[in-house]
Amino acid sequence: MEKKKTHVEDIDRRIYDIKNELNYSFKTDSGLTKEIILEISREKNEPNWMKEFRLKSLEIYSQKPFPKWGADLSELDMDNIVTYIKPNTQIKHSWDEVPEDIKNTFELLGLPQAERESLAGVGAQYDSEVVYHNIRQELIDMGVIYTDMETALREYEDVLKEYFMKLVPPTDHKFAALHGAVWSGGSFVYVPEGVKVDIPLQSYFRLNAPGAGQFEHTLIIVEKNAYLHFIEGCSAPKYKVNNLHAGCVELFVKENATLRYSTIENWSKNMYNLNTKRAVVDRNGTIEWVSGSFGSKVSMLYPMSILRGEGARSEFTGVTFAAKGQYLDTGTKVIHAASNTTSTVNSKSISKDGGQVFYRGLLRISKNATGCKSTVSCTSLMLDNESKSDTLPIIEIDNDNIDIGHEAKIGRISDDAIFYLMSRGISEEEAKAMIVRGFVEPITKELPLEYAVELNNLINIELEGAIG
Amino acid sequence: MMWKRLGIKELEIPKIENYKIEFLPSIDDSKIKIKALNKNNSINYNSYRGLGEELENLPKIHSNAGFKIEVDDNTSIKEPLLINYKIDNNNPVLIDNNLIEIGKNSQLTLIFDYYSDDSQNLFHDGLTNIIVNENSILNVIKLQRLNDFSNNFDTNITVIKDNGIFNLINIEIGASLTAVNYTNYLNGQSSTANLDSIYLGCGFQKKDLSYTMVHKGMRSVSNIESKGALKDNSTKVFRGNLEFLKGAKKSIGSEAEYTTLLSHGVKNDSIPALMCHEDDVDGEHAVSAGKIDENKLFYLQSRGLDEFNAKKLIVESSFNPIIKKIPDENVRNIILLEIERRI
Repeated sequence: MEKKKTHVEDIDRRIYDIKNELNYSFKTDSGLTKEIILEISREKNEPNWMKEFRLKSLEIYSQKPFPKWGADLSELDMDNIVTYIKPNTQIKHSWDEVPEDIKNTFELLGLPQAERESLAGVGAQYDSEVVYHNIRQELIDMGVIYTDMETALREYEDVLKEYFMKLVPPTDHKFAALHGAVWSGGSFVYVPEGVKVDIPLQSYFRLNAPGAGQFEHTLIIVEKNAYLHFIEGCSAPKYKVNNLHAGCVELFVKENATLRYSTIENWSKNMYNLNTKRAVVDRNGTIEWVSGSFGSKVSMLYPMSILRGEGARSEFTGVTFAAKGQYLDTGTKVIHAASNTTSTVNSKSISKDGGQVFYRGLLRISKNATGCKSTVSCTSLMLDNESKSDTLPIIEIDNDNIDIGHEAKIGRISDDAIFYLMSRGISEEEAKAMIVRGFVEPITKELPLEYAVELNNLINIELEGAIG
Repeated sequence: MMWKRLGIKELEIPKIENYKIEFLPSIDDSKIKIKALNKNNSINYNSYRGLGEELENLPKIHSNAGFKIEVDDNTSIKEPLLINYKIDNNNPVLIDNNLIEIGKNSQLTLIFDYYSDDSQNLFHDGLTNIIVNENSILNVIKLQRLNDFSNNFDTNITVIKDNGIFNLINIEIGASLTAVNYTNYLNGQSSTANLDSIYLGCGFQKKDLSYTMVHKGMRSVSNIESKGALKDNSTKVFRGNLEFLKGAKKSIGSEAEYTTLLSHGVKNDSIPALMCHEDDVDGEHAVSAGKIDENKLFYLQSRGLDEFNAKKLIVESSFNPIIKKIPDENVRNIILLEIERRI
């Protein structure tokens, strides 16, 4: 008897792949030169230190080699990536004033509804500039700052000077240097001491112009005893030119504070997603990453948690789903730099139709970080034998007083499980769907209900009724 | 890459002189052909990733010891053959190149014992190619207990054909610097490879242990189990690679590594990789590391053992299931003594 295979169809991407006509007031030449950097800086009216920072980053960028490991980046032609395209609109604070064509695309993606539901504020990024920004009055009254990076640079220059690219210096790697040189847009969040933001803040990034790179910068500072949940979501229309996303996320979690950072990345399948995310956590603080990678052609994404204060904690929950033509190289890095820190990593990956997933992780426990505990679990599900699934966790331990456990499993849907469910009266299709849904459940249950607008489009369409 | 993790930038290859010690056992069996040193022993593998060209070519081209064993089809040798590779003051450099081919439906057990006297600057670099033919069983035990002034390198490449079984026990307790690589190709249908490894790191020892299973045949089964203890300022890198090539349907691979950390100064890296290009397989790996369970320690101390002896007992007992598999009592005792001496 011919063996039956689980077949999961691609989701209907049409609603994500709507292109608007190009309509720009300002556009730089393709390719990257000192003149372009100066032009970006001039256009933004930036302070001198930021201009110097960009130029220095450009210098580092031109010296750094491309990474020799991971994804094939040979098709990425840096000269063709337009680094800065400003939408033909000023920053708006009311939804009604946002131009109709931009609004239509966002509406299809479900953003206004999501906001109506209960989201605190929306910083929707259209190409490189934030076009729409809104934050509830109550947050402002509590002293919470949620604004775009350009405004932050004008109004909170001292804070930016202290924190901007201190956690991810341009010397980190080639794309961090590129980011430092051409960054544009993004969000700045500051939660003052003791403030608990009980509704999640959401920002939405999007690429529109063909060939345009997006280099948004996210900087979040959560002060002592404060709490924040920040959601970042990505979706982009599909174009033929290879697109690059080299954003940067810097998170500062102070004593006893908690930050939950959720991401659903659903770039269209011609995107090179080379994003850098890093959090530093002080004494008894907590960082929680929830990360879903579904889109893009190539992803290299490894959110890093640096636990530098005693008793700091990190938790990483991630799902990666690679379909045809995708190479998703994801994972997480945890550095235990202080005693009694704990970390948990739970990674799930699914590959189908020749898609490739690669879990790449690092767990490092430094010499003086005693009493640390860590568990890492990686599970991969392969839906056919065209696909590839690799796991490479690196564990480095520099002292003896620790407790580390790591496990990984790889395989397909177990026949026994299918048989059991079928013996309970469930059809084979439904049984398979149930198993796949159960497999990704750790991430779905971590996301707030409101955000299901986007996630429903991704997981439910993909997993419900499409398995046969 | 290998040397980066051990913090070694350069390696000095000593002058190679003749190796004059008799290392082969005398065999009174016409069904085994055993010949000394043949420079053309080596087999070339394209996909092989080992210790690096230099260390691999040394035994290929400049070996000063080595043998070729061929076992006929349908031959079962009960007694283990013991190969004594000793390094001493007069023979400070051993470059061995060995080829083992075991015929169909046959069985053989080989014990390699690499040991030394107290001389300084000893050096070993070896290459062993193994072919396990259809339905045969080969057991190989490699014991390395060189003194702490020696450098040890060893490359082992094994091809296992249909229904062949390869059982390997690798015991790494000696040498100042050790890098070993075992690559097993499960090419045959229902071929099996079991790899047990024990290591003990003390003083300033540095160890890089790399074990690879490449599943090519359908229904092939592999198993890597590594148990070790690190004390003082020793460094260890464990690399376990489990690879399923397309077509290796119904194959099962598992990999487990347990490290007991006994001193604050140790450095312990683990890189268990799982590469999967076939969906109809079952692969898993697990790594755990930590200090000795305090409850166990407390219990043993409450029974009158001091801390040192309690720790020793716990470590030895974790090694025991593997040591028990060695079919030679004398070798078992040597291992236990060496562990006791070093711990």
